[in-house]
Amino acid sequence: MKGTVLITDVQSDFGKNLATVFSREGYKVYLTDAISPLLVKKLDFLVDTTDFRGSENMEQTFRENVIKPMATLEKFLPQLDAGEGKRLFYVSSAEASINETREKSGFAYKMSKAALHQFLQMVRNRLSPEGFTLRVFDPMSGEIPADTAAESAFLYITRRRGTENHDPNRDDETTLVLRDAEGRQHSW
Amino acid sequence: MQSVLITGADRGLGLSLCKEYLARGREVFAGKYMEDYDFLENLRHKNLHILRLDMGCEESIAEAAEKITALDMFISNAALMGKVDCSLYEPPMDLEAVWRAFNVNAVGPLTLAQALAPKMRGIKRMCFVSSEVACITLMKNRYNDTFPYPMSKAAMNMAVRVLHNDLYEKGYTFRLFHPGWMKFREKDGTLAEQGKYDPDDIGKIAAAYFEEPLRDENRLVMVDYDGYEWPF
Repeated sequence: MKGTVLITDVQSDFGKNLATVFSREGYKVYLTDAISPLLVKKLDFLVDTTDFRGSENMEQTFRENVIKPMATLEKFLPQLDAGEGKRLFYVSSAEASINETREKSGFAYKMSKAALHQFLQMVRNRLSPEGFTLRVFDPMSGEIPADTAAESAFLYITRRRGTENHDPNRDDETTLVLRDAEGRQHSW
Repeated sequence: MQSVLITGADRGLGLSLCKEYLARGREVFAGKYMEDYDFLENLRHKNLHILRLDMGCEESIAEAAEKITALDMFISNAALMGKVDCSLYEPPMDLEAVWRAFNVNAVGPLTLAQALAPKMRGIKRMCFVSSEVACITLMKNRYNDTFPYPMSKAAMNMAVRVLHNDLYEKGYTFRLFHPGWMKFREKDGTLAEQGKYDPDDIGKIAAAYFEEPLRDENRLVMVDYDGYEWPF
């Protein structure tokens, strides 16, 4: 077994495909709905694929996209802290970049993701000294097939970003960035 | 006479902006939320209209907007802040505090903008008081152990971006302002020791920035009390 991964929200095509890729590659996959923190001692990766779209209901969208991921992280933090991987993965979208978006509607989704981004930046501040790293990923839903996005996400989660030589000038693992499935990096 | 609506006018920057715009000869609609503060009533000015306004409540915002027929400018200033138990350092996190901050600080300003947009005339200016902690880029390595306020302000900046995308070409103009750390005004009118700036001083700077035209109205930027621009 290569490691353990906890995946949320496998109802989405992307989540389903990502769970399949992790299993195929020899990882032990837990699903948040089916697992209690009491039953697992160590987790390497938290893969939160929550991406609730298409509603203009602010409260529902915010509870799905922000409150739920916060609760999941809090719930499984001790297991993640005990694991080797210490990597947290979240789904977002380039259209939820304050710098980049040119859209004129879809407030609820974009605002919830902006709040999530700021939460993750503060999580990074909190957990980075303890060896945690984060991934914020745009699966480009609707633009590319979900299985292609899942293969891309798998490599992004399991590989180290940047160099291995621990030179802070050449290593951006400690920086929170938003990358899409085709490798573009988007600003916040 | 040019008219302006200011939310969270009970005290602090909101109150200072009311005084400043009354002195500039504007008609001022002041959003009042706190029952136990009477600074607004004590201004006793013929051009001042006090409105009940709870930024966490859609109906309250709609009711306030109904009372206004025409408006040149509004300033979304009210915000929910302060100590909440929502830190990964001290579980359990108060996740309802995250929703409450988002509702008042991000959903409220958007709802207000949407309710007032059809009534706006002249410079059609939408002003939003934001914060340096809204900057996701610059939050890196800034110690912060309470999540809700920075999260809600980042979401508000996003709301303003999308409003700008939609409304700038329809003649609306925008201001995003970071006022700095202001001293809290006690009920007896004295300023608290904590904080760096007197809200009256910031109010003068903000009032001018909100009202005066810019060379680059097409560009959405967050500007602070010193005139410096902040990234998102």
